[in-house]
Amino acid sequence: MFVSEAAAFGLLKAFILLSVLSLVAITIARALRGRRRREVLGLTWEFQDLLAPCISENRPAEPEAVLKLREHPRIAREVIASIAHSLQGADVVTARLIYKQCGFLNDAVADLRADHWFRRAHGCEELGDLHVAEMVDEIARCLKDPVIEVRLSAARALGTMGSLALLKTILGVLATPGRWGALDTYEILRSFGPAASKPLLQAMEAWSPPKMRRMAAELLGLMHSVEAVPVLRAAMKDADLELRTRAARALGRIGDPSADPELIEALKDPWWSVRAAAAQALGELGSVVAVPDIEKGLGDRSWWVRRNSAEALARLGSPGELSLKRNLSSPDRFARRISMHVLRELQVRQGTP
Amino acid sequence: MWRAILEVYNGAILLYTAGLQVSYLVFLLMSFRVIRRYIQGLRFRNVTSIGSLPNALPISIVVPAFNEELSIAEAAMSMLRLQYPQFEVILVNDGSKDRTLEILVQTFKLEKVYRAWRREVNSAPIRGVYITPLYPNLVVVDKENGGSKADAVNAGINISKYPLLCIVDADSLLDQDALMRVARLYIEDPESTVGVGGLVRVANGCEIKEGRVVKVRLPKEPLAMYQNVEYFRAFLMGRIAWSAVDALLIISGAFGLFRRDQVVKVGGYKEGAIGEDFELVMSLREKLADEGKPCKLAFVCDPACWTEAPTTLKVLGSQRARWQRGLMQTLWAHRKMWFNPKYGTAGMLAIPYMLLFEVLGPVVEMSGLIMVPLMFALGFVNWPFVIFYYLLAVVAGIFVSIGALVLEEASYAKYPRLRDILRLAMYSVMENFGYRQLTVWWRLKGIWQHLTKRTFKWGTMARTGFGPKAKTEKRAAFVAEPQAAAPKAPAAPGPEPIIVLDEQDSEKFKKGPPPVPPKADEPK
Repeated sequence: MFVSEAAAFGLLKAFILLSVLSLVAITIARALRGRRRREVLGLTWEFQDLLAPCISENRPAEPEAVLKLREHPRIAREVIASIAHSLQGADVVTARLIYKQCGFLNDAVADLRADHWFRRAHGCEELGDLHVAEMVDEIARCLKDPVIEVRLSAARALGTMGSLALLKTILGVLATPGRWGALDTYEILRSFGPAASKPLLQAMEAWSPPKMRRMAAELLGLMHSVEAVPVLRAAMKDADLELRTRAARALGRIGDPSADPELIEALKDPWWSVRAAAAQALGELGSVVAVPDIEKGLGDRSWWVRRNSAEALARLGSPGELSLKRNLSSPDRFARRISMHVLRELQVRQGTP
Repeated sequence: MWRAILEVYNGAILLYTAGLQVSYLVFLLMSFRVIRRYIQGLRFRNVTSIGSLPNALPISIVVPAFNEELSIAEAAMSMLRLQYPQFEVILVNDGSKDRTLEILVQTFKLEKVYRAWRREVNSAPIRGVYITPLYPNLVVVDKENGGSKADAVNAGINISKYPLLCIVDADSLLDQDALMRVARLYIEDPESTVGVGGLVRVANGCEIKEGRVVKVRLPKEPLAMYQNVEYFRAFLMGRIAWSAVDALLIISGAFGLFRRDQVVKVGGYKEGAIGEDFELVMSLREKLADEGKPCKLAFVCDPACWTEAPTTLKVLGSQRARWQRGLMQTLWAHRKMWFNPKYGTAGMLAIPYMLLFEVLGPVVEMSGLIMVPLMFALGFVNWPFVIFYYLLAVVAGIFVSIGALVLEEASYAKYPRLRDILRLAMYSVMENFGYRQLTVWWRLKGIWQHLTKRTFKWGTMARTGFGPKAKTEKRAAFVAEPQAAAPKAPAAPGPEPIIVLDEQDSEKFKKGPPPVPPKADEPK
């Protein structure tokens, strides 16, 4: 087989050239990146100095300052938004005023409608930091964006702005199948504070989609929402086993002893996951009255129920410890074994031989 | 006749080499796209917020260790310092012949307990479980040598209690936020994510303090440098690209996070598997596809695991031969997945690619190295053909390696000094003259050993540990046949077990943990 000389050398040159060019590109990119970093840092400090007196005195920026900010709109927008992010109350209003004064609001709106997802997400974030209430509808539209980061950013922005009216919509979006998980939901809903409890309680209603109800139960637990206890107690009787499991976990986290009867009842649930969650929750609640019922779990057919029951007893202080010790001579070898393990671990943790 | 055969051979070898290089270029372009998108996305995802999240899935970190006395205490401390809401560290002493267990007992004031566990996957008998009041999330498992890393990991799996399993080598260190970064995928998509792999980087040369990489530097040893370049190509290009098309087949045994229930379902790490990490991923893919369940195995490009690369030809050679054998063994064991659309892109794309370029690669490359000059000498090919061939094989390879460096530079830029990058570039060129041919030779040895079914033995590896300590000879892993060659385990050092088992339990403990009673609604 013969190959033409020109083709061979041509390709050789092309590859060598590309390799050398790549190395040159790395070198130049390094130099430029360092320079750009220094430049951005310098401008950020300069803009912060420029804005600090306006924010502290709650007044608009001087025309010269506005001109200066408009010379580098991207950095200026970032700086104003980051300042607003760390402020509260009237100071945010001033930051927003300066933002509008510089005409950046139109840029942000353009960002929300941009083709590239990064600009849309960035626009949402910025408007959220600045609490631009008139843009709520525009941001809410981004909740339906096909790109996850845009939806996340929009939900966060609405959370920061405390748009409670939209909370249920946000929850609806977050509860749709896909890559949305409890982390993002929790993170966003946490920004609403205790006010989020009410829409979450509404989301727990029977007509809500099951996935939304499960998520709401989990979130109410994470938020330690005491007012959710009656709803969660009712959820312990729901047909959805996943909801029962999450409700049990949530009740344990909230720590209201009034949930004891439902949790004790749940120890007899036909599903092991509910029994295991109930045992754990009773341990977290410190329900000494439940010791006899939890003790029965030591001989459960599921290993996780046995383990959670034993650990729950270990958390219940001396009555639980007594129960574990009693089970060391249980005729049920599984109860005996798990009690021995947990007691031993407890002793080591307490430093008692 | 002969001329016609050689003509066909020449055409085929040229086509093969061109195909391989084109595939690398495609990987490179895909990786650029994926990494860029990932880094942009991170801007809107606060990964470290997982640290404050109470419902992040807890993780059991399983660290198998055999004769790791030099680095075990530091590795354990490094794991215990990881940032994550809830995790346990399970160190499995796989019947070490050195002071591994003794050092752990002394350092962490361990006490022997009789911990609750059940045998869900096979492993050699466990001699004892140790915990400490100092670190409630540290568990040390002392077991008899089971003959493989798989066996040690399986023991850890049996002891683990959390729904996610992170397998980390004892000679590796994780970035402090690595667990949060790698667990993010499970939190986002808990239903279909089964396994996630992280980036493995070479730790040789780096400055390490208290189990953390504090200064990223290049290794001084040429062999480690070559491997550094290889790791860039493998992880920043290959894994990312395969993950992007949902065809990732390997999650490194040095650092991988898996769903415990699914790992247990496939029987954990397979005993006797030479490439146990590859085998696990293939088993998961096969099993879940057979059950019609989603199976997402992904690669995340920023949680880094720093590992010590071999620095002697002997160890590296046996490692590469082992990898080749493991690859062939596992591919053969899962041959029903070959070209099978049921297994999606893994069956239709990744496995055929592996067969063509990973299994046959060394054979074709070695034949090219010998045949092309020979044919030139006999006048079957002209010298531009020879240049064209080597150009494809070498220069395109250099370009791909430098492309991987550009990728690193454009994404994480871990090496702060420009001279480090230039040095890496230099090694990207140099590896083609000697090192690459050596790896081809080692891989050929692996193929030969696989075909002749030679008894597998794990090699020994000189470790330096992560501190300024003397070198010692230790093995990378274990002996081949699980029980046959397993050395008699030494008596467990440290304090006497405090708990006295009743005879019945004691007997059962010797035989292994009790079976779970076969009752109706046991968690599936």
